[in-house]
Amino acid sequence: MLAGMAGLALDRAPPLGVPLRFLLTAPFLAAAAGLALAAVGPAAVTARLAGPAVAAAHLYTLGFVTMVMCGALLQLLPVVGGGTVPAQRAVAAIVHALLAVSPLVLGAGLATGAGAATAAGAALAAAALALFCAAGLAGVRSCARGQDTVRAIGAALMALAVALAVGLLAALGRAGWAVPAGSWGTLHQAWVLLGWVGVLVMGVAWQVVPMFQMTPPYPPAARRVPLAALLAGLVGWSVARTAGSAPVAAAALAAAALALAAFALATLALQARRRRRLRDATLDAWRIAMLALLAALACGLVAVARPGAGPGWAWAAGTLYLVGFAGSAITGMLYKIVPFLLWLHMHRRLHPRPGATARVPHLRELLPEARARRQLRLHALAVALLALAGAWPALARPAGLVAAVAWTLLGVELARAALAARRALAAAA
Amino acid sequence: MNPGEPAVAARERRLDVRDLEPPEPLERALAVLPGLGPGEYLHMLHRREPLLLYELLEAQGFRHCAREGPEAPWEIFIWREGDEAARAAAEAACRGA
Repeated sequence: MLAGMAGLALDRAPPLGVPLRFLLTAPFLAAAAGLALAAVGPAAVTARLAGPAVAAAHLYTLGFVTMVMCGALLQLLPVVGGGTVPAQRAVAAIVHALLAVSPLVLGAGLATGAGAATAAGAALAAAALALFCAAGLAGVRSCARGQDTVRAIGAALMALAVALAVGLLAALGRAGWAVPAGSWGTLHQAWVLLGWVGVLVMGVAWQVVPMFQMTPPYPPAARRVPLAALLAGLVGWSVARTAGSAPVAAAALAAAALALAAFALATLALQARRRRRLRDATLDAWRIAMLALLAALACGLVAVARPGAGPGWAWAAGTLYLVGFAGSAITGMLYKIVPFLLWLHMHRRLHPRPGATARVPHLRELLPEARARRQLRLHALAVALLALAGAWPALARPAGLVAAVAWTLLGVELARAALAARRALAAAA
Repeated sequence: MNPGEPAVAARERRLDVRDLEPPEPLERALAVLPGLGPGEYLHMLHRREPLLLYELLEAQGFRHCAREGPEAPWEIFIWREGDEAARAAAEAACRGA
């Protein structure tokens, strides 16, 4: 996926369709999440743990965030780590289909209180993620090189497995099944947000930020220390919380938060030292992501320190983290990765031997900077409205609508890039 | 080259792609390489080791050697397969001779 990285095994890169189906589908599921949020309206903030709000959240986290991450990992593991994901085409087809359907079924069940649909949706999601975890961890084990990114991927997949297990218990409990007592929902949220999303964005950043944003590489200490602190904090918090030790749980959560803050500050510092001063949409998307992460941590601190202050701070922390941080980082990555994968595919098909003269469209022809910037402006507006809805819940509905338009636009631009590549190949045939 | 023919003088052509984002370094290199004359080799100055370029070079009839530093994080020397003068000069430059 990433040209020019030492140690890339590009001959192991999967067929284009393996990652591309995930990356092209995901934005439209995010748009559906935006519409779901708009339908729920202010209740998403004031009753964020109620069925409809949880439904919208899962449409986004499963249908967009996890969908993109699965596609990215299927590309990264062979190319960066030299590993082999077993039966990658079949795994991609099955996981993609289940991740596309399960949040819709789960969401319908959660929104309407239909226990059977909730259980069915949870089962479909569980099947997708269990298959992906198994295949992904097999891929990690097959990597010959002990790269930090590969270690982060392995840790993120194990965190996903934990999130899946406790999430299943939470969903089944919600559907009316008899499950062991425990705050499974809270544990599920923490392992998804910190373990799956946080660890994976961190690990992927170590590759894509220097590569596409022309920054110096992350120093080894800036990679390993935050990763270790984040994982230790998450595990420590989970154990302490379950054991009922509030001070230890608080200290562990603080360690995890500091780790994420250190990652955000390190990334911003690297961006300030980039060789090429020309800004582009990817650079700005990642700046928004890092600033949103810092803001999310600040709002989260207020929410924890002042539990009587109402749901707004927790809402703001959650949306800034999921949409501002993860959503912006993913968006910035997609602006580069999708055109690059298409370009690489076209180049290999059109220039297989000396003397080939067919023209390969440049990346900026596949996804022009002006169109990426237009989408990013809408996305930034959605992030702001979502966060402000914590103070003014009436903003939740317009925030959902703006987010739906922003994500639809992203999906359309990526689809246009794919169609342009297909036309170039057809013209050269 | 036949006996009695004058030896071809090796010449270096430079390409600095350190400030270009992917895949421009690769595109620039592939645009320049077909124009290499007898005895010419390309000396690329790059931020990173361009493994994707290596994959494409062989298919396009070129060979390469690479080293880290001193003029750039990575310096890549590329010549047309069969051009012995260019190969010898490129490999000597790569060794720092």
